[in-house]
Amino acid sequence: MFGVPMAGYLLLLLLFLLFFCVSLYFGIREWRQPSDAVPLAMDVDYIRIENYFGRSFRAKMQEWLQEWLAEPQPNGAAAGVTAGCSDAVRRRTAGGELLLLVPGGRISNGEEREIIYSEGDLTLADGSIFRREIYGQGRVETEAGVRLQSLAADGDMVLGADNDVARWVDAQGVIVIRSGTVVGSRASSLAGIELARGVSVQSLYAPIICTAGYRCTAGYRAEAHSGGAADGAEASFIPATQAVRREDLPHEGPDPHGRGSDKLAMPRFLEGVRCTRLDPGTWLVQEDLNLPAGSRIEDNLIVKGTLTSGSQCVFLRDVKAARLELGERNHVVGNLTAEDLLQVGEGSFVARNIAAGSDVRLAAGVRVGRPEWLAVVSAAGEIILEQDVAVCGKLTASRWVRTV
Amino acid sequence: MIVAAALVIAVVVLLVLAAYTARHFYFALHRLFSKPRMDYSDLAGFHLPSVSVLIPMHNEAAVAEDVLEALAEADYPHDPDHLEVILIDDHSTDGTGAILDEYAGRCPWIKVIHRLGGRRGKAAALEAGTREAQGEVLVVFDADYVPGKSLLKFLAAPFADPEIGAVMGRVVPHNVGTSLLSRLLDLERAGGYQIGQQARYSLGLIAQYGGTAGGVRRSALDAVGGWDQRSLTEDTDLTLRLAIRGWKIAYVNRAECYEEVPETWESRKLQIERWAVGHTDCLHRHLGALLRSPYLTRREKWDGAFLLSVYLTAPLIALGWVATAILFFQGSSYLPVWTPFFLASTCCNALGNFASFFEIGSSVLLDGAGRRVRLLPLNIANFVFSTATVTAALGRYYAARATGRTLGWNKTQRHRNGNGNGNGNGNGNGHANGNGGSYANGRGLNHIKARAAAQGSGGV
Repeated sequence: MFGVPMAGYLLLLLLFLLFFCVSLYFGIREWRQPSDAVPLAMDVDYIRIENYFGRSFRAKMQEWLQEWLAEPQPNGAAAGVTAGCSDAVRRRTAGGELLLLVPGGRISNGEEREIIYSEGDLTLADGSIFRREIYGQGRVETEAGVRLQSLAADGDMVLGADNDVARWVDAQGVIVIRSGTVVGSRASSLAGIELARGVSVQSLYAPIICTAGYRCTAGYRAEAHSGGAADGAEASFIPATQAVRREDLPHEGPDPHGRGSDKLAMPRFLEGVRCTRLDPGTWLVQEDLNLPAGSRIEDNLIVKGTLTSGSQCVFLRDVKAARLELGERNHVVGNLTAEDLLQVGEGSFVARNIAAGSDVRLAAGVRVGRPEWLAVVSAAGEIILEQDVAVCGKLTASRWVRTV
Repeated sequence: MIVAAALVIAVVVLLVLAAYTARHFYFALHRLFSKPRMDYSDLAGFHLPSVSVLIPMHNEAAVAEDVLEALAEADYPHDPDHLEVILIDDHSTDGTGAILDEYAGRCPWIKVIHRLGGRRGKAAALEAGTREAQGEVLVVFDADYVPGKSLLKFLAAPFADPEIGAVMGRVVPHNVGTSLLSRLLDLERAGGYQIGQQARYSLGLIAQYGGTAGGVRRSALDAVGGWDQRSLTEDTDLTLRLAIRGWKIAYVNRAECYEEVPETWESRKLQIERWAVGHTDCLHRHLGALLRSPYLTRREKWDGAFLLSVYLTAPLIALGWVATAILFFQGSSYLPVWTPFFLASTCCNALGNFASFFEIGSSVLLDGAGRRVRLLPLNIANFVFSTATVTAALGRYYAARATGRTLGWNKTQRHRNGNGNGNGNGNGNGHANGNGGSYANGRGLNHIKARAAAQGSGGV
């Protein structure tokens, strides 16, 4: 009755109808009896807090401690949860977490599986392993080869050589991270972070983050570099080798309309280069650009190829390139962005943010941000820091921030 | 002769749909398996340009307070150097102006412009607001949007890159569940943003500035000639003019904002008609310049052409249906040779652009909201409706174009707070939202939070 083509059509039609009806059945059931008909979860109250891990852990710990402080004490006096005890005390929270409460001191070799709370200064002995979070109300120091989960300190913190931190560290004082140590997630401090050579961290946040050779961090406190002391602090923060005097720089803050200068004449460094103006304050160069030493760029600059600058160049606004290689002692007032690799030459200063689609390398003596205006260095690859580098603000890399 | 013509049409339609199919599959697979491109989110809070928020409002009394309360809570410095909110009361007759004046009296960072004469419409209102704006960056919200506290920081961050002319955030419907249509549109939005926009941005193609929950660099806007008041889709128009003149558009998936989607087919019809006509008008005005632009790569030009032509696929599909029906009833069959081809085209014709369904499914997976994907087959209703509506709208557009007429602007109907206010240009129907339920009785942002909390989604 049917030819082969018609039978084929019918077969296809039946197959299609089968799948179609089955899928419609589930669709209609979901429509009539919704199991997921709420708006997609979105945190409209979200506000980024850079030391969130430490802050939330402290809050949780305080909650647990308040539970116990509210309990009647056998000796009638409760200055702290370990008051009257010279040894460690173990307690279990309502949620079943086991806490080790210690008055302070040194926790010797071995493996601990409890959350540790210390009321005083704490030292973690070399080679120890800590599977859960640690909170010290005083100064916390780890000796060499310690492996731990997370660490919060209300005082200063020293992470010894070759430590392995699976997640985060947070301190209200200065954090010193010694050679060979790895922090798997965030290191944050309200004072400063000093990194020795050979350290790897995924991201860092502090009023000042510096590598070996920078003189400022010993005893550094954020307040010394803020408020009324800003000018003096900046003078000590920006490398003395910088060629730019403050009076040479334009008025700080963005022009309301993003315009650089009113003059439309092409700057000398763009002569003979394939370029155009995107707006009165932005130049777009559609090839590689080599800037001679001492160039002064007053407008936003976008380079589709590689931008290479000689020494002592001054960029008064934002700069972007596919690949960016700044020379020695450059001074950048705006932001730096690169689609690929971004290198900042020795002794240079970048006032605003740095972002790269690949790696960022900051050479010796580089300064980023200012004590009164924090900045970010962000890389989709790695951030490599040489000696005597200082960043006021945040460093974050998809892979690692490494010191060499 | 008819059969031959139908055959040519069918093959052309299938080739065009195959090209769109490949594009959608590529986007979805890229989004699923490749690392997203740097979107500057890490700079949020560290790059704080001066921002002027522009909110055009035409009869928005039902929703005006929600967006203003949300902006009052925004985590952006509320000082004259950093933030101003400019409310443009565009010929309102429902008391919107009084609400705006009351807020301006309370908040020094709010300015109100009352437009009582002159041209109506969003682009004209934005032009008026832009003249007053002092900010380096202009952020635009529609009145029914509810920005989260950090949204302005996320939208401002990419402007640290001097090549970025505009930034687009992600919009998420909050009136999901009020009707089948709103649930289908929720899926459609997820696919469009989580996959389409993100993939285009990651691939270095032209991400689209969507006209709301997005920002524009003021100097870039001035450089390309400001808002085009003739355009029905000023967002697409601006996207194209920026891209053609060398600016880039960034998409920030993390910059999420709740919006209200149409709950009735009638209001959806008005919305999609405006989009189809405005978008296609942009095709005619900008395609040539797009293809000639010295700033765009070949890939960007191709994808830009696909983007601009997307609404033309609706009449093309309708034509394809007619052609295949003719072929079928004329007894033509290529089954032995073309079985896989016909199987694919059957799916394509029955389910619309099959790959866009894959795109939506992928986005739901990425959002971790798997159960709502069961609704996806019902999107055929939305597809058939859109195909018919767009085909009719483009028919009217081309007729108007041939006779030198211009088509008017329709405001999308609002449903929040039990309101169903009317449409612009006097063609509105102003009916109340009849679907009742708890949604109609709630306040915007608070109600959204309460609903999400009740469902245990946390954090909202």
